[in-house]
Amino acid sequence: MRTLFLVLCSLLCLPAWSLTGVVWEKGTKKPLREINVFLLPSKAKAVTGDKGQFELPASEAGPCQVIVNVTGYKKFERAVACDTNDLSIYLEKIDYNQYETTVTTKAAKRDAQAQGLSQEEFISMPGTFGGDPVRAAQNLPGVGQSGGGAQIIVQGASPDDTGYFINGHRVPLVFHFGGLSSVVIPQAVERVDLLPSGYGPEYSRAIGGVINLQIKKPKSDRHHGFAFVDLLTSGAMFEGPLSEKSSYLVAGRYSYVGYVLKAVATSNEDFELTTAPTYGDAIAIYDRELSDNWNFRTTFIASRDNLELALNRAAQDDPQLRGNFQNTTEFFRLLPQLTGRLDARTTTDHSLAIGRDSILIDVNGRYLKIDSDTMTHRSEVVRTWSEKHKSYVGLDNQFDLSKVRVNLPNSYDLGGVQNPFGVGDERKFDTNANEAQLAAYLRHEYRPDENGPWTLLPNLRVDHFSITHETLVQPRFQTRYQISSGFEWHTAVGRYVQPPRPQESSPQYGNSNVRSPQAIHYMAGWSRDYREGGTQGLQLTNNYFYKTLDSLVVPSIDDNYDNTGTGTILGGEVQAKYQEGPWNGQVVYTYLNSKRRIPGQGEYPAEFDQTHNLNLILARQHDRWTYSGRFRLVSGAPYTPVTGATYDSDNDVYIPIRGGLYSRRFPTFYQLDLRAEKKTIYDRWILSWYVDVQNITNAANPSAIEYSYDYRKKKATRGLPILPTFGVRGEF
Amino acid sequence: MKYVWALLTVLCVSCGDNNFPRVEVIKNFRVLGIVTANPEVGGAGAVSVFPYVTDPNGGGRTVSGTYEVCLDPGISFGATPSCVGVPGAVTTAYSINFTADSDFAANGYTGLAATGATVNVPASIFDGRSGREQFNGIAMIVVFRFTVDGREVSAFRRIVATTRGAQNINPATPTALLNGTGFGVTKPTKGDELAVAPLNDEQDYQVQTVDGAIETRSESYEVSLYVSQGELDKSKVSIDESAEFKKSASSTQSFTTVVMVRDERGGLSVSREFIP
Repeated sequence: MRTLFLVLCSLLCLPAWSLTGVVWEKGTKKPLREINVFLLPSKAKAVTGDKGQFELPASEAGPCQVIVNVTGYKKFERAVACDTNDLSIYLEKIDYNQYETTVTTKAAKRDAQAQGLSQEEFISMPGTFGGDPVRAAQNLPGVGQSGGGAQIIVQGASPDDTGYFINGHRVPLVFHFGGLSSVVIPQAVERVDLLPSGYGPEYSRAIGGVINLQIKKPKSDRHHGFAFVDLLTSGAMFEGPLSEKSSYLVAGRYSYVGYVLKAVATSNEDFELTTAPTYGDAIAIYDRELSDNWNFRTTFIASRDNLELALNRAAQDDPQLRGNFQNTTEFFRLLPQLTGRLDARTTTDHSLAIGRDSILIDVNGRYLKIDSDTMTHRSEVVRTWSEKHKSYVGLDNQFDLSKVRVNLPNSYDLGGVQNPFGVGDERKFDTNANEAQLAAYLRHEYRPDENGPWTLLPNLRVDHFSITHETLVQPRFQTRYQISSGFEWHTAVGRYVQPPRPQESSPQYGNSNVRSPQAIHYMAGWSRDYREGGTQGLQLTNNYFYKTLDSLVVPSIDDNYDNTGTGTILGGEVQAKYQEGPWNGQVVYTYLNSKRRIPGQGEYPAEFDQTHNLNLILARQHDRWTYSGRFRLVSGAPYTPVTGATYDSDNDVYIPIRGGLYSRRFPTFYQLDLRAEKKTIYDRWILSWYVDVQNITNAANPSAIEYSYDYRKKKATRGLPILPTFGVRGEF
Repeated sequence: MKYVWALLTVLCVSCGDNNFPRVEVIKNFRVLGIVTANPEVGGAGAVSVFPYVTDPNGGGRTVSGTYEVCLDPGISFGATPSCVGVPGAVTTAYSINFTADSDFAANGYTGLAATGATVNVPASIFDGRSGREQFNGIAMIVVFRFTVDGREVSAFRRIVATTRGAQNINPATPTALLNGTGFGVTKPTKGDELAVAPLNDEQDYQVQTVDGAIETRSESYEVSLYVSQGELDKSKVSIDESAEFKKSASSTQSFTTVVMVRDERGGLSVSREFIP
């Protein structure tokens, strides 16, 4: 009888009500699994499932108290009716990063001296026009100051000596015009890597250094997206799962800065913008897990810049520059990539980049038009032979089929002083240029003693350039010495080559006999991480480098171009990064001595010989605010003075007479940038707004010399003025 | 890309410093052009060239200097416009006496120098040159150098020797127009239009391109404008364009305007208007 009562009671005495719901992360709407949800006064407890769902038995009708208290989140406490169904609980995180990145793999830092910035680091960096990764990379050690210019100057090399890559594949440009923004929306970039002197054999064709943007893997947990508007650009990005094993990402941006410029320019009598300068870019990614061991991803990237204007009044110092001007640059790449594991010790990675580059420059009927169909190919196999020995073998090929149409005078530019447009020898031709750049490389990581401090990396790369008919062997060697956990010395030495630029090797425009410039890099340095596995504390990096440059292509009066240029670059850099609680700071200093030599000109400072370069970055997070600032102090860049000019009666221009090459310097450059960002967390989305003010002190920072028509009068032109940017972003 | 940056720089420069002297306003001693009747020759011979100069504030003085004659050292490829170090270069003393020349004194010290320089084109000028170079022309240069008010003023022009059958000739002498009619005694004021009368004598000529093809091109005239008073919105226009006075000429001072027409390959013609 007692048993029967208990059975009946267990059925009849069950509460008539239950409380159901889902626990989400506030703002991102991420379902929170394995979270304890408590109910008072019944003291019932439930654990959320995979989709954040829970069900609590309520003991009686009436008011109940739901309590959720999880580490990393603010405590949730709310009175509800005990019979509530579908209760949505949004837990607010204590700390929200920027648009969150799923870091799929720890960045493989094959070169100890490589520097990189993750999305979390570059997205909120001040002075970067809203978190642009490549502009943020200008804060890295060894990267020179280029003002507002679209250039990356690595350790005193020429900007043309830096290679720009996306997912390891070369792209024709990394910045939209004016350097306002790089060609990929920042939130689609997982990280930006800088490979300075002594980099490994995976890359070449860049004797200065390499910038690589690594595109992120789309998120697959749920659908995400954001849209933003700022004073220069607006855009949006969406990503999420397509199926259990596939995901997508699409994003695009469009800049309307041109419409602002056009409105301003209507009051200018000297020129009018016939079409507002515009730029835009788009990216789409499809990622599919083929099996446990194989993954396929396709990335599509497209970029377009267009500028059209009419110069009503000829330039003072170059009357040929007037009339209509157009510059259009566009490219796209389709990058299929297959990665996989062949066995427990062997992985492989194959990718292509198929695309087209188009460049049009038209100056009043004088033009340069290049249309290139291009394909780059990378394949790599990585084999871990043992705990002591790992090998990488790969191919890195590039094929270009180009149609080139030229109607331009020869351009003579020595010491950064260009002769007037109309003085040069007329060049008009149409040609097809086919070019292949083939390369194979081998990298070894060898530890003589499995538990010992030494790692030896004998590397080799062989490049073949069809344009110069050269096959160039480039031995490279790196060592690492692990002194203790988080403390490592490293050295590197190697040979680097790059093909001459198309205009230099062109039989019609340049000199088909020019050879590839070469460099020998030497570097030594150390890095020490005091964080001991945590996130708080100090990281120090200190590198020294020396490069010899040989066979540099320089202008030649007899041959258009020749290989008589040489140079040396000597420098050192130190970076200290410190994080303590809400504070985050960096001190980056680079010393540089970069020289060039041309027969007849002697030795002179290189164009980007910036002796001292100091960057201070400080950021603090407080509540939902992030404040950050950057201060830059850089030695004035050298320039070539013009000592006089001779009037060319046939062309009605004055031809400048150059003084000592780069024998003068601009005043010291300094700039302070400040940024503030505020997040407002709503249940289902996050609203952010930011103010980014560049050059808040409005320092003049002259970076060019303006001359009168006869070069008798001159004036330094100021750099970027104070430039505030305001933007808002909504994300889910 | 350098052209892009050059042009973007120009955007700033051309609308830049208003304190710079304006190219179209003649104030100090300047060589505005170097005129010859034979911008191209078929081979050896002597060619006379005359600087077209202005010195409105010089008060009628003598300006002394030299002229150098030599083979073009490769100016279009970047060589300095000078005969220093060029084999066969000849340097000759030269001067312009503004007082002795009544034309200068009567026209605001602006005009063609009375005495010319001689460019002797040697018979060997085509020796060792490619067929393309001979067809398109081998240049001699004449460089005038003056020292005026403590500074050097230098100017040069080319005399081109070519195997091309038809040699270049100068454009016809232009006629300066103010508001569509010839100059009278009224000095220009703000808003007036300065132009030249249509010439319509542009030549067709042939050029051998770098890939060896013979291409026929047509001349396109460019007009350079100079004024001693006032200010123009453009210093250079095409033959069918006009420039507008942005500032009036002084009513109390004499006014000189010079118009020069160039055919973009060495041909040059010039005319002058003077209002006392």
